[in-house]
Amino acid sequence: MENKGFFNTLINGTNFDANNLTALQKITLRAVVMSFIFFGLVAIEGMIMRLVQADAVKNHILPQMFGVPEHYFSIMTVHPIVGIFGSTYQLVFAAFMFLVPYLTKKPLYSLKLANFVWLSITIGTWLAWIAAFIWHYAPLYTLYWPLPADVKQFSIVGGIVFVIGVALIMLGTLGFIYNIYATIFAKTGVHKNKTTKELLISGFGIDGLMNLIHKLLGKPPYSKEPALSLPVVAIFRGTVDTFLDALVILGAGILVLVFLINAAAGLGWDVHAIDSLLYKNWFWWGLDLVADGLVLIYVAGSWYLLATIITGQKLFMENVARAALLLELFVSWMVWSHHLLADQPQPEMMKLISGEMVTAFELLT
Amino acid sequence: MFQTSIELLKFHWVAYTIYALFIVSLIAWFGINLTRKEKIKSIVRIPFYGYIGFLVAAGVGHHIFTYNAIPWVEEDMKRHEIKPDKSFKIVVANHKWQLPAKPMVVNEGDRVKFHVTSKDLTYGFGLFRDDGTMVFQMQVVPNYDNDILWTFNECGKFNITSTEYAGPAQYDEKGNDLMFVKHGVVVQCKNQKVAIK
Repeated sequence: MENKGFFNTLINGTNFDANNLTALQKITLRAVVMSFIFFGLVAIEGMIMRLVQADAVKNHILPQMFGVPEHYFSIMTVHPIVGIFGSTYQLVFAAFMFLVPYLTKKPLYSLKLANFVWLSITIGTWLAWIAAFIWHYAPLYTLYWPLPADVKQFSIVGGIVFVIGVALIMLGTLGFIYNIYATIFAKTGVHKNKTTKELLISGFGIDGLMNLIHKLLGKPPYSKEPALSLPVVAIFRGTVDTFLDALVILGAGILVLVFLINAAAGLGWDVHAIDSLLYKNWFWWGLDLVADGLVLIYVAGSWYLLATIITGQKLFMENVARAALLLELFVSWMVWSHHLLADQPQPEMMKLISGEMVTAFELLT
Repeated sequence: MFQTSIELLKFHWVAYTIYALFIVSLIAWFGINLTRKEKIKSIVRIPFYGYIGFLVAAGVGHHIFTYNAIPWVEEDMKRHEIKPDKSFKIVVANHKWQLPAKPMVVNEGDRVKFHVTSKDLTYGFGLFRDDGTMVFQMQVVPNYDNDILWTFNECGKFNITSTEYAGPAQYDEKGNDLMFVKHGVVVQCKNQKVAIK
């Protein structure tokens, strides 16, 4: 009886009626469920990789297949794809597609688009995982050129399936971004009388910066009531870097796809036509936005919200926080060179300014 | 100031621990004050923004002011103007090194330049001690002359391997590194010769 009660509670909940949920609540929960499934998958993958490193294959604790380099590196390749995109992106996107309408008191721009987002990211993540698991496509997440298009080591089919998977994830990401922008900038409800310029100034944190400047100059505040609340500013600001990052990853995917299709057709284009160092700079510029441009900002935004809810007070140094979000936008675009400090052909000034100084300056923002 | 990467790592271990403690102290100070009805009266008044400014200046300044304290950094920046004592040209293709000599023998104190060129993928060129610690490494991007100038302030036998993932073909089925070259570089000590097999 106890077991029946436990499983009944597990499946049906205690005080939960799915029929009473709104469409947005349902979409949010679907994405969260998929996110947790992917989280479970990466947790298992992570433990398998650690066990391999601890000689579990040699000691016959794990099957031989896990120790074969092709299989091991394919897990390592797809592990961050599933973890970052399938799990974390999906969890964060679902939370923000629910939170932005709640905070702005405006409806989400499109529920259909929200459904597309979780479906696209889910299918894309599975495709990338299948490409790694079945075809052992394993260029790692760094995708250093021309490794992802190296058909001597990797199956062309595996590569194409992987790229299609990642492209679907990025299309889902762009769908999320469009939905968030369209919701924030919709001139309805509390923003009925706001202009796009006012919303943009607030979204980028320019009003916070102007308030600080006015304070220094002894002038009255530039804006007493910002058009957007601070958590919404952080979500919008993080989404700018999410957008740029999606464009770069999608662009890299298309480039890889072109060379893979070319190889499949036997046309024999030389992969070295693409400058490997230029590609590396471009790819790291985009990829680094995940760490420096969006994760930090999304976490900051979430805690700005929680801090005000928990304490019931306005945020301490709110104008500084708004201005810092703007400053960090520019800083996040200029730090990628710290990933190329060991690349000797990289210009020294890039290593010094972008790789060292601006990266260290991030401490301030 | 520092002669080897081991010495530098030891310094960083101490410097960053102290720096992290300063940051933790800031948060602790803020947190303790939040939980008290009256603010703690410190013996010396430290302005909050001044302390933040100090932390930022220390963090950024650490990079600026210690840049030339690490000898190989200055050498690296000026490597195109410095005439090396020895120079080696290395080619890598299909996960195999083409070394000019095996081992490459130099003397302690020599400034040695390694030019590494890749014919296919992005690799790394790293030199390691027998205990697995790294002496130096650089990325080897295809179709570029990837060069590194190194003054050997320590003698001994050093191992070479790629420090950048270039696909699973770098390893055999048992996971052994096929690009690993045991004692690929031998540095003769000033006072005694290192035996070369």
